[in-house]
Amino acid sequence: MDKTAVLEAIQLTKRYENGVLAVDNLNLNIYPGEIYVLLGTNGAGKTSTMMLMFGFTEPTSGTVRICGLDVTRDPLGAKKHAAYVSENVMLYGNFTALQNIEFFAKLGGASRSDAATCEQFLLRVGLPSEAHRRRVRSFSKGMRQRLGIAIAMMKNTEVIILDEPTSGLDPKGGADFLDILRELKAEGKAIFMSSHDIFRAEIVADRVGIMSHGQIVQELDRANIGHQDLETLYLKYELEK
Amino acid sequence: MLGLLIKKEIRSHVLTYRFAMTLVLAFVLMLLGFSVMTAHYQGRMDAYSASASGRADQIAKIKQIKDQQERLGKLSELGIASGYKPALLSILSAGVENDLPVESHAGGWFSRSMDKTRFENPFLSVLMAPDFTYIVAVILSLLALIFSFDNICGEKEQQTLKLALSYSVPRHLILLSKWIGGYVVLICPVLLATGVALLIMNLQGCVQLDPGDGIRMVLMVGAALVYISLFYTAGIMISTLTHRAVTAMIIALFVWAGWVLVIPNISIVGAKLIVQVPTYNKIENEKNAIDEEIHLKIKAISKTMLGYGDKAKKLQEALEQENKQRKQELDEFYENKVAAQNRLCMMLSRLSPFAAFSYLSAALADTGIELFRKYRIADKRFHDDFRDYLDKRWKEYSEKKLKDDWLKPDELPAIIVNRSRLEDSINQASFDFTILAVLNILCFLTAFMCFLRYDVR
Repeated sequence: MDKTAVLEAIQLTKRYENGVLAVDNLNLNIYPGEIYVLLGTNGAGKTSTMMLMFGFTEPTSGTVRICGLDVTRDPLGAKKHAAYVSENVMLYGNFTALQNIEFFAKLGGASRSDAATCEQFLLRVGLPSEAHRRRVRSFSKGMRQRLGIAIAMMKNTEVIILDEPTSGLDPKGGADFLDILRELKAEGKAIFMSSHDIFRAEIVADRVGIMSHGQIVQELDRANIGHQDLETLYLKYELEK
Repeated sequence: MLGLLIKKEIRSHVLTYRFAMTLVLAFVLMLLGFSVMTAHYQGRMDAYSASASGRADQIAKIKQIKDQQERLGKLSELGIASGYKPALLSILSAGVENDLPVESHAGGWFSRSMDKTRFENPFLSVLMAPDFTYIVAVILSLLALIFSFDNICGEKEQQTLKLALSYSVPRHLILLSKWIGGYVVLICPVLLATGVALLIMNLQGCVQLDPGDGIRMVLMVGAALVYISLFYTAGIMISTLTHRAVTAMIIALFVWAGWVLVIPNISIVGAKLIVQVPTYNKIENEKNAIDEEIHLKIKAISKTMLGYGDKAKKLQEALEQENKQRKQELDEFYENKVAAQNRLCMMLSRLSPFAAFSYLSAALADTGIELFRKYRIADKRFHDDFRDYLDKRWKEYSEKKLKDDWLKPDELPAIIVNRSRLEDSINQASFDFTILAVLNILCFLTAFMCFLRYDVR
């Protein structure tokens, strides 16, 4: 594994106007070809961490770097190297799947954003051809999630950040999703995702961070994930909360 | 990148019910409004023509009377009517036009206070004339807000804003594309519907436009675009100040009601409270009191100074002069008060873009407040001139200098309302145009500043 981190959080802190400390002095390094899963209960600070990574909200202190670029100082440069999939992929409901992916491909400055290439990506994430020209408004959550991942893949970035991507997916959709993650990992992408899904995290993660009160209270690598009962750990921090 | 974002905005707006609703409403309202207003204008034109021919007939009839005294007596008894030619562009902006009588009557002994056309169709006064200005000022302004109130907060709720901002897209480009794309989609149906309505009006041959009218129309449409853009920009501003579409909608409705209904009406009440004007009846009563006082004084002089001849006459003349002057001062006082109240009302109401646009549009159509003033002057002059005309003829008659062919239609006074020149109309409209432009810029800058720091979480 290349030991140059492509996603770094350095002493990252976020305190909201209402005084809530969402992220507390977080330090994190994610490497190429690695899947890092951030586990935590609601309100642990996972989504806030993701928001800080894209500069959607400004950090109170600390830095996020994507491929060495400071997100606060050079947001446009940093965002070129990262793709984002939100928890609830909504997209433009009046557009078809193809129109959505074409738009975002062009927005990301993809070298190839023609319909054929876009369709290949849609097929790759398991979105059947008959759905490509349907309006996204009529899509199920799983289909929208797949489309969101296809859009992120099409951006072809070193880092992919996913906010609870498996929530609401059926077992088949969840399994397909894990396959896609493995493919991306094989391509050398660094994947940082937040989740409540302990079972899938255990299967796919190279590293798991358990977050509570804005801090990573425990971090497990691949070797330790199997030996520890993740569910017990997760519940331990849930109860402490 | 801006082109791509604008294209996306246009596409996403075109595929909404809002666009379909705007398209249908724009066509229905414009076609309906233009046809109603054109018919109304034609009705007023017919009344004007009827008034002109009625006047000619009446003069011809009086002229047939051979005896000079009888002829002059008949003219004094019947008086004459004069028609006011309606302003063509009242079709687009009625302004005060519908409050002006098509015909005014001046008589030697009495004048009809109201022309008969005013009894014909009162519905436009009750239901408000659906002219271009009204449609734009009330309906399209609301549509513009509906188009834009959730531009930013709606996308935030939909999470597409987050996704778009995860790309290397500067925020100002997103805002700019939203403004341009949405505005283009909004104004296309409006321009198309207005164009079609004008074309139909022209093809029907109901009205004859001259190049000056054409320029005024273009300027009115241009002003309407600026006005619509203000509400559209205000909607975007609201959407950058809120995080939920429902909240934005409620605020947008408040803004619309405030600008279109509350401020204009409050300014009328406010101006009345600040500059209080006595009722015209009160002024009339005071004038009557002056008349009475002077009359008593003259009577007293007549009684006590019977033998004083010239001196008494001079005193009486001085009292009559005083009477005239005091009544004139009262009139001036009243008119100045009314003018001050009107000025204040206009200034206060300009806090509302609705009022600014209405003044601007009416000024360009030459149917604004200025027309009301001009008509009053023209009407007064018509009455005064006719009185002078009769006095002169009676004097000539008494001096036996009256010629046989003295009753010439061209010599008889008429209402002549001087139309504003295009440059003057533009000058009148420029202040209100500046208000709309400045508010546009302020709203956009606020939206820009807010969006740069907008929390897209």
